[in-house]
Amino acid sequence: MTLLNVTDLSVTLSTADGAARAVRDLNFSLEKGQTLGIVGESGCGKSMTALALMGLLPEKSKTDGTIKFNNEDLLQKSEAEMCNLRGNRMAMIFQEPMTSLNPVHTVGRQVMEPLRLHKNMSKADAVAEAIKLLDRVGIPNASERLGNYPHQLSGGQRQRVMIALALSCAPDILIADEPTTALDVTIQDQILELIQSLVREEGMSLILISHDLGVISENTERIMVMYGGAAVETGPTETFFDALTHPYSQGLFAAMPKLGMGRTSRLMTIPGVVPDLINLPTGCTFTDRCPLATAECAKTTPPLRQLTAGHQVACHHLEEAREKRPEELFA
Amino acid sequence: MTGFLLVCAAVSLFWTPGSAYDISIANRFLPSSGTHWLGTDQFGRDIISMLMTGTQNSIAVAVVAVSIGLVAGVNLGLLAAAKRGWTEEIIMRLSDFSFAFPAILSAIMITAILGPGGVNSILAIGLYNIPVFARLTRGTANAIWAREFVMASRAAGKGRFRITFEHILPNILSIIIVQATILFAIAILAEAALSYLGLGTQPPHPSWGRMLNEAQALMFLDPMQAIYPGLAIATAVFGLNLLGDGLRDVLDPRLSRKR
Repeated sequence: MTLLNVTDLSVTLSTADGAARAVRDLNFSLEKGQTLGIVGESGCGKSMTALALMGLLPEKSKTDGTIKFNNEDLLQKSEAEMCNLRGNRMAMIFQEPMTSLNPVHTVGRQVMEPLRLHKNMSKADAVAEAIKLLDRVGIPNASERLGNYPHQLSGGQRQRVMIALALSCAPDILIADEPTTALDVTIQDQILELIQSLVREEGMSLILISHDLGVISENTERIMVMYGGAAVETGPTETFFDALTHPYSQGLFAAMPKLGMGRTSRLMTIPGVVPDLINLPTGCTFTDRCPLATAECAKTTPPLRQLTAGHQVACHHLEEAREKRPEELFA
Repeated sequence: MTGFLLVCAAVSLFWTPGSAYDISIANRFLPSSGTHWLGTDQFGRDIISMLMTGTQNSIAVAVVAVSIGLVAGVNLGLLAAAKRGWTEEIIMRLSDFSFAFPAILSAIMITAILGPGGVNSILAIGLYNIPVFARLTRGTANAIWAREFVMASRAAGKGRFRITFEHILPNILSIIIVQATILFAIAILAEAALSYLGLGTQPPHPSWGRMLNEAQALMFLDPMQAIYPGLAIATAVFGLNLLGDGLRDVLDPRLSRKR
């Protein structure tokens, strides 16, 4: 069953300098229980996509297209209807666990809020449920922790609380926007594993957003690479790296440090910077950084083309890009 | 110091050394003595009693005036921050407009329109306080709205109204309380100023400002008469400012952590 179906999603933010096209004509769908990873560098539109799904974009923005969630178009819903969905059927975890909890309320109160709001639980029931939730996300002495304030918890524990909060109403979909970026590496793995196991147990769908290809590849079934607000390559995780084609995806892959890399060898980088979303170049947005770019790239935008089953790439030079290895492309 | 003021006001409700109202021409301009601790004025009224009763008056005016400003201003500020857009624009431009007039001038204007008197001076000072609170509230509330936990609680499905009262207000409360104590001092000063100008509390009710006004004419005859109410005003304002500073240190975790 298709849980989420996004068609032609575009987000335009009006800024002082003009309209920024943060997301352009994005299409993807998500089955129930499926996990999708969105990867790209800062400013590629991945967080904006997440906020658009939740209906939490800043006021000065325009959203086009359709977002079908359980066959209902979210973009047509009123704010009150969205409030009923948020935290209830769809939940989100943010990047910064240090600031995502209100410092003046206890942890318990904040975990209990969605329960009382969406499930109309009595206080006693909510307390019991909150203890169960905190226990599930691996917080020791959960019943004592309820009375703690956020500053008394470590970053990892706070992210666990955020996860408990997000999962409290057993949503259909969990959107995790860089959930581990602010945490250190050992905690990172624990948190990701926790999200994984909870998602599997509950049969939830997951959208995991990260700039880290490694994190994405270990935790999702499908990968979507975004660049300049649009999807440039998408495919099933299992075969994704074998079929890696788009020069940008290859660049991302090449830029990852590898085990056993000599101390003297330099990390690969993609030259240039992300495109200015206000003055997007015509044609392929990756043109000015792409080693394979030709005159055609600067003129027309390449459509997403099917490469193998489920693997789509938006590039004019599919064959050429496919033959080259990342190391050769960005030598 | 503020505590001392409150005690004075409270005690004066039941007991004053003499009477603040009784006129006794035979006993005018008496120096300090056992019966008249700070002497008497040109009508033979007991100065300490007048000061104490005046404390009552000052505090009452300040409490009501600050409350008016607090309730109306904070609500307007919260509304502006929650709604943004046109609502915010209108509320803020209105408060800008009222800021264009100096405080005392606008208070004089209001009492000029409504007529002098205790209630009207309260209203005048209260109205002046509204935009002060509205601006402060909107500014600090906007800062809280931009914080991540607000986004997180929106993602948890909370409406603007709920977020305002569950997340925004508790986070800005300490700032508002500190502002209230400072405005309390300003309100006392403003009341004294209005009474001094004859626009505030009317005779025979004693008020610090009017005592100053009456004493001014007798400056060279009996300077102490002017000094006592002056001291009272200075003490009250100084005390309240100290209280404000103290409260800020206690309530603001960032400041107290530094020490």
